[in-house]
Formats: sequence, C-alpha cells, structure tokens
Amino acid sequence: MKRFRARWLLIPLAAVFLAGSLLALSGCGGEEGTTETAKEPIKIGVVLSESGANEPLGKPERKAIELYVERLNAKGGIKGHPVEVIIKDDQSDSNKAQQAVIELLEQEDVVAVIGSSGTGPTLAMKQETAKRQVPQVCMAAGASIMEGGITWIFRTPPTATEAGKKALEYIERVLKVRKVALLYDTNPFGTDGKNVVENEAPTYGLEVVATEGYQTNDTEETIDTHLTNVMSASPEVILVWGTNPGPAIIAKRMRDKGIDLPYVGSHGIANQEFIKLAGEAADGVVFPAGKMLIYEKVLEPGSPEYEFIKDFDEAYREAYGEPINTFAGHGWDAILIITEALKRVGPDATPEELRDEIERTEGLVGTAGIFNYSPQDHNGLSPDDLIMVKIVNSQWEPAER
Amino acid sequence: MLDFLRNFPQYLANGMANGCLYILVAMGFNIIYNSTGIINFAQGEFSMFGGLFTYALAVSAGLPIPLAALLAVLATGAVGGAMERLMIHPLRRAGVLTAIIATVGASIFFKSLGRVFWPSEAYKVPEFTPGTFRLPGATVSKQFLWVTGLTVVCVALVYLFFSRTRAGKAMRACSVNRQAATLVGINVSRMSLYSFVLAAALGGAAGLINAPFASYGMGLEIGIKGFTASVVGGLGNTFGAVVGGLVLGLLEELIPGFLNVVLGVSTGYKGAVSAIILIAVLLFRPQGLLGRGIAEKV
Repeated sequence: MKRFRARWLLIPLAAVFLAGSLLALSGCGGEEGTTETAKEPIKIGVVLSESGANEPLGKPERKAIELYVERLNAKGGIKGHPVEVIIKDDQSDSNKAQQAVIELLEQEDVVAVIGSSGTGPTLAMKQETAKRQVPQVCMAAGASIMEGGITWIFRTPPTATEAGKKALEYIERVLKVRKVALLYDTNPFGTDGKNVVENEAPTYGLEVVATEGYQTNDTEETIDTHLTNVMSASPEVILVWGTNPGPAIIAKRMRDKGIDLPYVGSHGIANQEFIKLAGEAADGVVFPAGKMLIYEKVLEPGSPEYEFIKDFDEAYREAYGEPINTFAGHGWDAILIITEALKRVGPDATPEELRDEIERTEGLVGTAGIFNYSPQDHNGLSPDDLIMVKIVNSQWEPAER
Repeated sequence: MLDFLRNFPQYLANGMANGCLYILVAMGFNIIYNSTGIINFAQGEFSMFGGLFTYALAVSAGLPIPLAALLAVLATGAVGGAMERLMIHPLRRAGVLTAIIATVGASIFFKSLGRVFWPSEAYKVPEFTPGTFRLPGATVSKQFLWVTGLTVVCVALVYLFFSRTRAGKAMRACSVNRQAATLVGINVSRMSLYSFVLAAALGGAAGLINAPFASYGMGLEIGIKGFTASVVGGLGNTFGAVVGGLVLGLLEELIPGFLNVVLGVSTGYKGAVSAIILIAVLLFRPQGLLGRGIAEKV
C-alpha cells in the first residue's frame, strides 16, 4: 500500500518532467503532439496466459495487443488520450486469473478488461467483472463462458457453434452424404464440439450413426479401437473434433487401414502442427477455419477484410519477425473492439457506457471476421466468417472455390 | 454381435500393444515397491522422458533410431538414479509415506521440466520401421512387432537379472525382509538406487515404444494405467505385471468395443474401464490375480 501511494505521487511528477524535457528538446514545435501526450491515459487491463499450459496462446496475444496499442498511440490514441494496457500473467491458472483481475479492477481503475486465453481463467474473471460491472472481452472459445449472465462479457474467437455449423453444412452441401461418424476428444474443446454436432446435425438432414470419445493422450492402438468401433456403423464421413495429437493419429490410422472416407476435422487442427504430426495422412483432410489462415487465397485484394488482415500481417511480421497466427489475431481483435467502441463513445466513457457501446458494435472488420454484437449475442461472429480449408500436398487450400 | 466378432482380431491386437506398454510400466512400479516399499508416482514421467529423449536424439540431433532409442533408455535410467540419490536417499529415515509424497512432487517437477524443453502438444517420435501390414480382420503397424519383441526381451532380461545376478538376488532379499538383508551385509541403499535406475529404464522403454507421439503431459495416464496393471497382477509381484498388463490392455479394448458395437452405447469415458477394474480388484482380490500383494503388507 505504501509503495502504491509513492507510485501515484511519482506519475504526475514524471509526466511534468517528461513534458518539460520534450518541450526543451523540440523547442516550441509540434504543439499538438506535446499537448496530446499530456492528456490522461485510458487504462485497459489485460489478463492472459503467458506461461503454463496456454503459453502458446498467451504469448502471441500479448504481442498483438502491445503492438496494436503502440500503433494506436503513435497515431494520437483516442481523441488525444493515449491508451495504457496493464498486462498480467495468470499462468493458465483460474485462481491466479481471478486474483489478477481483482487487482486490476480495484487498484488500477481500468475501464475495460481483456482476458483470458483459456476458458477456465476466463470464467474465473467473469464473475469478478460482472460483480464490479466492467466490460470484459475474452479470447477463449469454451461454450460455458456464455452460459448464465452475459451482460459484461464479450468474446473474439469463433466457437464450436460457428465451426460445427460450418462443418455440417459442408458435409451436407458439398460432400452430399448423410451418415456421420463422430470421434471427439473428451477434453472441453471436444465435448463442446460434440454437443454442437449432435444438436445441429438434424437441422442439416444428417444422422450421427456412431459417436466415440477418446482421451488426448490415448495411444495409437486405443484410438484405433475407437475408429474400428465407429466403422461398424458404416458411416459415409468421419468427423473428428479434437486438438492435437488425436486427430493426427486418426488420419494416420485411416490411411493405414485403407479407410477411404472423407475426413472432416475441427478448427482445432487449423495449425502447422497437425500437418507435421500427420505427415502424408494429412492430405485430403478438410476443416473449418478463420479466413485469416489463407487470406491471400480466399479474400479479394482491396476488400476491407483483406486489407485489414494484410495490415496486421505486415505490422506483426515487421515488429516480431514471425508470421501471424490465430491467437495473435484474437488479441488484435480484442483490443480493436474495445478501442473502436471508445472512439465512438469518447475517452471519458464510464465502464457502463463502454459496455453499451461494445454491444452496439456492428460490421466491425477484425482478423477473425466481421463482428456484430447484440444484447442476445456476445460472440460476435457467424458461420459465414469461417471457410472450409483442405490440405493438399501439405498446403492449405480453399476446399471450394 | 457379428460386427463385434469381425472386429475382434483388431481389438486383440490393439489390446496386446497397449498391454505391452502397461507391462513395462507396471514392472517398474513393482521393482521399486519391492526394494523400497515406495509407490513411485513419477513412474509415468519416466515414460515421458523415454519418448521425448528419443525425439530429441533421433529428430533434433539426427542420430540413427536404434542408437537414439538405446541412449534414451540409458538417459532415462540416469534420471531415475539421480532422482533416487537426490530425493529418495536423503529421505531414507523419514518413512515410506514421506518418500511416496515426495515422488508426487518429482512427478510434477519432471512434467514441468518436460514442458520447458518440449512445450508443444506432441512430438512425433519416429517408428523403428514405418508402415503397416494387414492380417485377416486387423490392421497392425509394423511397430507392433517391435513393441511385443522389446517387451519380451525386457521381461526376459529382468527375469535373468533377478534370478542370475548377485545384485538381482540381493534386491529380492530386500523385498523379503529389508532388515534381515542389511544384517547379512546387503547394501540396502544401493539396492534402492538400482531399483530406481531399472524402473526408470523400463519406463523409458515404454515411452519410446509408445510411438508415434510423445508429449510432456503423457506421463499421468501411462502412470495410472501402469499402476492399475501392477495392482491387477499383484503389487510387488514383478511378473504378475505381465498378466496384469495384458488383462488390463485387452479388457480396455474389448469392453468398450462390446458396449459400443453390440449394445450401441457411446463410450466417451473409456478411462472409467481401467478405474472400475482397479476398484474391483482392490475390493474382491486385493492381493491381485497372481497374489502376493497389498493384503500381505497390511
């Protein structure tokens, strides 16, 4: 507490010092720039998983958010107010996420919160942001996040609902088959998908003839048994809902056993990892994914979506020397949604005004698609924001042209 | 029913392959339990090291696979030895329960270590000989022959070690009565070291034949299955592990297969099968199928 007060005293002091030195440096030039940096910053809290199991998600998310804010502030921030993000690591742990968000809400006076990377920590944060009535934009896709009250929570990634509908629609319209065998991982990602597939299949005139759940670390032989079991129901297509490495084992085993059925996967395999693990067996696999994955092949140059993703791609590459990925995109979208709402409602908005404005977001182009929030829908995306991708010679290609 | 019978050879082959894995892990549990009375909860993590070391040596360092596999097994044995010297040995006067709790800590530490060096969801461990062959009613990977072959060799070597070598005999003496063994001049502390090295090497071998994938998170499941197999066979009965592993491996494929194909029940929670077998054995035959187990210790 003591240290804290000292910091509060230091901030205006530092600001005066900074302003003074800037004036001294630049003489009397650039009146606008100097007065604008002196405006009070808008604080946004961020909690993400930079370590622990969700590290591969949290790291690129942080990079994207920092880069976005840096670019925004260089352009003058929001009506002259710079945006300040305070980032905390929850180590992929729900308790730590809860602790971190309480600190942000009680000590930092943030106007909105981003986070977290995974579903568990996000749920832990949700109860705190709802209690203190501060809008939260999460980057996790679990269905349970949108159960119960959704007043204060929004999200950026596509969920099992959009991806499941997209995959089923593809099976019905393009593959023109009816009998689906479903293999799913019994982890939360897989069970979300299973629920969507089982509920939505009848609306697409499809029949799930066999369902088998496997565990993430099952051996090749155990997974082979599941495959053997579903084959007894004579399906016409194999639908696999899981994260690596299960789907890769299934692809490999299907090839080994000479099972010549179409393989439709989930957005859980929209990564190079799957191709690396499955090798040749990855060829022919089709899965739903955001357009960003192969935007140069599916979007028209000049269209708002194409230009937005290209700008993100180039900025990210230049700043970090590595290609963009889905998770960086989720972070970019989260900060985009909040700052765009702030631009509309003004820098002095209360958390409540900001929440209302986020809910009015309409037609906002992001990396994952076009966001439209409404009081009933805080997911923002629709199945149309996804495309079906086919693996051809270990490359991603649009499944339909 | 017809479908179930048609699938039967495939279930059998899959169950055998998993069974071999469980045998090796279960033998590790038994060897340590025999010499020290400790149930080593880090046994599954030895398999994780086996798999990840093989990946590191064969793929990252580019060594030929047989050499990489051998080195990985030896390195895992060394990890087991280090664990014994740095953790179990200093705790030798603190009681068995303390040491068991310490192995839980070791398991978490090993897993975290694995994640630091190999953070991805999975790594592809090369198979000794890629490819498959088809038998009537079953498709079997060529790796399957290596899995069974290596398991037979390991079991035979362990058998020879315990029946023919001085160290093996001394370890058996420790398992009968540690105090008496000390009295006749057996270095019990060294036997404890040997048992960890041996158990770790066996666990490592299990990890590398568990190809094609290894990951830092694989230890828990393998550990639980191996422990179940050792209890089914009779905890402390080194060769009961062979029976326990095979029984567990086969039932794990046959029961869900039967439920799904014949009765049409979806089997999302196959893990429950091994848990139910474990509980049933503990309730009705706590000494295990081949006897000489926990009941005697109580």
